[in-house]
Order: sequence, then structure tokens, then C-alpha cells
Amino acid sequence: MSPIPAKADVVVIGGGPAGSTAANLLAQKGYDVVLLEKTTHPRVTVGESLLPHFWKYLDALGAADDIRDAAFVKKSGGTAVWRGMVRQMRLMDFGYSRPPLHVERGEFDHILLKVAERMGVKVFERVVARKIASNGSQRRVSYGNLETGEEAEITCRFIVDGSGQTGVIANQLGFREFDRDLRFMSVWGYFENGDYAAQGGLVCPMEKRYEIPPTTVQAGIGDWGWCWHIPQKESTSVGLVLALSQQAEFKARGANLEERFLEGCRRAPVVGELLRDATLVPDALYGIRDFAYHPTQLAGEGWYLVGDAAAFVDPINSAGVLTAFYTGSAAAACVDGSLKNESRIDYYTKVYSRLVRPRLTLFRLSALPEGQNTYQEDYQIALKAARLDSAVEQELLMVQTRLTDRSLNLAPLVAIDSGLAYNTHSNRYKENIQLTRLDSDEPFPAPVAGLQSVA
Amino acid sequence: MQATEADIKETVKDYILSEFLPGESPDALDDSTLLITSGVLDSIATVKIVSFLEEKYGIELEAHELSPEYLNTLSDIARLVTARIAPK
Repeated sequence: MSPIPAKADVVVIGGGPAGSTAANLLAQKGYDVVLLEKTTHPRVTVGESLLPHFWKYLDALGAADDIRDAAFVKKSGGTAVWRGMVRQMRLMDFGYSRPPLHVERGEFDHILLKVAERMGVKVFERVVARKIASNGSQRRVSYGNLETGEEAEITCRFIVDGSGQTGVIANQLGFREFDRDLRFMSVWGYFENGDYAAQGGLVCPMEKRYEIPPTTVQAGIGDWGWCWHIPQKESTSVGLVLALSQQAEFKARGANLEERFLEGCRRAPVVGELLRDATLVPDALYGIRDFAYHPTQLAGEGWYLVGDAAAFVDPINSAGVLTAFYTGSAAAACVDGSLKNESRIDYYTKVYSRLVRPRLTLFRLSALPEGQNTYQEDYQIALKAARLDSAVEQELLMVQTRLTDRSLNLAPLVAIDSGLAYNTHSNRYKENIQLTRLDSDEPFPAPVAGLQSVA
Repeated sequence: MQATEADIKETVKDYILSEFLPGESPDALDDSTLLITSGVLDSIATVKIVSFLEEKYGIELEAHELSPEYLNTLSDIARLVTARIAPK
């Protein structure tokens, strides 16, 4: 490994999709970019369902061919099992020409980082960013090199923080607020074999996944919780998202985390059936709690927060990686503008907040359980993002949220602005699908209406 | 000589075609094509267009002007830029 330089135009903290995106785009513009990543890729991370508009970001990054060659599982759409009803939607119906994917994030993120390096980014792994400091137009990032034990710093003009949940800058400056409306815990793991749900209510064994594309399944648990089921190349990612009020019951279901998790999955409508003959991959269970937060400030004197380092909500709308691409691209455009004309630094800071804050707010509203929003001003803020999205993206969000009951949170937006595409064509999903096993006329057990909590 | 609205429209059209619609026929864009609300440009593209306008015409825009209200068509953009170049 070459030595870490003492100077750069831009230091990017974190080598996930948000950091890789910002670093890649700035290197393409000819800037000297150093990226510090505290782990070694490929690393374990969750969030595997990608909506088709992510391809436009891959085009800009020069990564579309690399991702295509990785042959991730193509998905066809979504299946929601909610309050006793099964609904399905097909993403092809929205006119996308390239497929949505289910990706192993370890591999996906590693490819993006390697492409960034190819574009000229100087990537250093096992280097942890500690603190930032500012002095006039100069910024400093202090870091620890976990390989050598060396503690040193880099001088730069701009810092892009893509450090994920760690939130180096947000925590140092006290900008992170936890979301009192989204108090959840999540536990997830991976299953081998088992079945998946395809379009037309078809239930298929895993070996058919390249032949008959799977859907992402979301199954409601009680009023608030839900469960995801995402078939990938080798295994299926399954996770439980539970309200903290459901936690006591979850804990009572087994002697250890593995038993509780298996029992929670078994009880989830439809998902429990899909996993009937599946086996849990051992020693690969993960969990987090109280994970939703947002920042009081998104950008400041020479720094930008991107991806999860900025905000995180319930992952129900598969928006995590897209938000990483969006914020990474927006930060790159703003840093580029600021580096070209330093008298406009404040303007670009404002521009970034004006772009990103409404978008985060829109995703937060669309992810919240029904009626659970204590920030009434959010509707006006989210409207700004909704108006900037293309009609097809607006419509897709509405259809996604109608599969579950989260669309009720978006209804006030339509009331404020009837011009939004949210209420056109939003019948692009089928209701009350009867699930049937492939090569059998036998109906799949119907989901139970009015499920109480995990029970 | 000060750029006319027609010059500005032509310059911005060339920029949009080369930057965001490579390979697209110039006929695909006319003065009234809806750039933002129809999805030709996303919100990040509007940031880049404004950076381009600022550099090209030596003007400064406000953050709140990055909206469909001011930037949705080539005509809107030309009107905004002309108003800003005009002697203060």
C-alpha cells in the first residue's frame, strides 16, 4: 500500500455506495480524492433490494458493465402480505428497460469501490477517520491507520462523510437526532434453499431463481412490524423489523437470538411458509435497535453528509442504496461547484440541504407506520422533493406504499398538490393474489388477517 | 455584446444534450420541452445547469431558484438568465 498522502482536494470518509459515488464522480472531474475506509471490502452489510432507477447512477459512475457482469439475481417486483391481503406489483409495468436487482451488498459495494479506484480515487482500507477540523478554507481529517497504528492527518478543501451509522461528523458536531416516531429493532439472517414468491402468485423453489425472477416479499407483523424476504444468488436474506413495543413478546419466544429469530420468521405470514424447508446459515445473525435518525444539519463549512451518515429510516421502501447514490451525486455536484468558485461555498451548502432534506423527509413519511408522524411541517417539506421527482418515480413510490398501508402518510401531499402523479395510474398492482406452488394446483395457505404482533 | 434569449437557449440546449442526453437527436428538445417535471433532468442535473449558467454568464442565482418554476423549459431558463444579466 502506498503511503497515505498529507494533502488532497477532497477526503471521503467511508467506502460504501454513498462514499464511493461522491469520490468516483469527483475523481472523474480531475480532483485529487482520498477515500478512507475503516474495514476491508468485501464487508458484511444489509439492504439488498434495488429499484430499477439505480442504473442511471451506475452509468454516471462507469460501473454498469461491472454490475451486469456480476450476475446478481434479477427481481420482477414486489409481493406484500398485509392485513390478510396479498398484493403484487411488476416493475416492468413502469417502463423500466433495465431490471431491478437483489444484490449481495458485500460484493456490490466492493465492485463500486474498485470502480472508484479505477477512476483515480486513492482508496485506503483499515483507516479510521477520527475527527475533522476547520481553519479558513482549509479542512483537516485526523485518522488512525489500523494496519500500522499510525495516527496522522490529511489537509484538504472539502470532506464528504459517508461513514454510515458511525456518523463521524454528525456525532462530533452533535447533529444527529434519533427519531422518536420510528422506534424499531431489526434482526436479520440468511437462509439456504426454501421457496420464493414470483409474479402471478407463483411459489417457486430457489433453484428456479434465474429462470423465473423472484419478487421481494414484505409481510406485515401486527400494526407496526414487518418482515422482508429477498432471494439472492446463494441464499435468501430475511429480516424482522419490530416496534420496540413488540420486543418483549419477541424475547419470550426462545432461549437465544437464533431461536427467537427462527420463531419470528416462522410466524410471519407467507414468509413462514416460504421458509418451511429452508435452513438458516449458521453464525450469521445480525441486529440493531433504535436505528432511525436524521441530522439537524446536512452540510456545513466545507463538509457534506451522504448516505446513512446523514439519515436512516425504516428500510421498507428499498430506498437506502438509492439515497446513497442520490446524496453522493448531489454532494459531488456541490463540491465541484464550490471548488470552481470558492465565493459560492455557502450557496452550495444551501443547495445541498434544499435537495436532500425534502427527499429524506419524503422517504421518512413513506416509511412511517400509519398516522405516526409528529412533525406536521414535514408534509410541506416533502412536497418539494415530490415535485422534483419524475412522474414515474412519484407513481412508483405511491404504488409501493399502497402495497402496504404506508400510503396513508402520503395522502396529505396529494391534498396539498393535486398535480402530483401520486394519484394517477396508481392501480398498477394486483390485489388478493392467490399464491400457488409451481407444478401444483394446491393453494398456498392464505395469510391470516388481523395478526397480532409477532404471535 | 450581451447574449440574447435565443443565444442562451441554443447554448443551454447544447449543454443539456451533451451532458445529460448523449446520442439524443437535437430535435428531441424544443423551447417548451418540460425538462424537470417530465424527468429529462433530475434535481442534481439542475444544480449542474445552474453551475454552468453561473460560470458562462457570470451571474449568481439563489438556491431557491433551483425549481421547476424557473428552470422547467429552455424558455424559462433564458428568461431567468436574461433578467440576471440585465444591468442592475
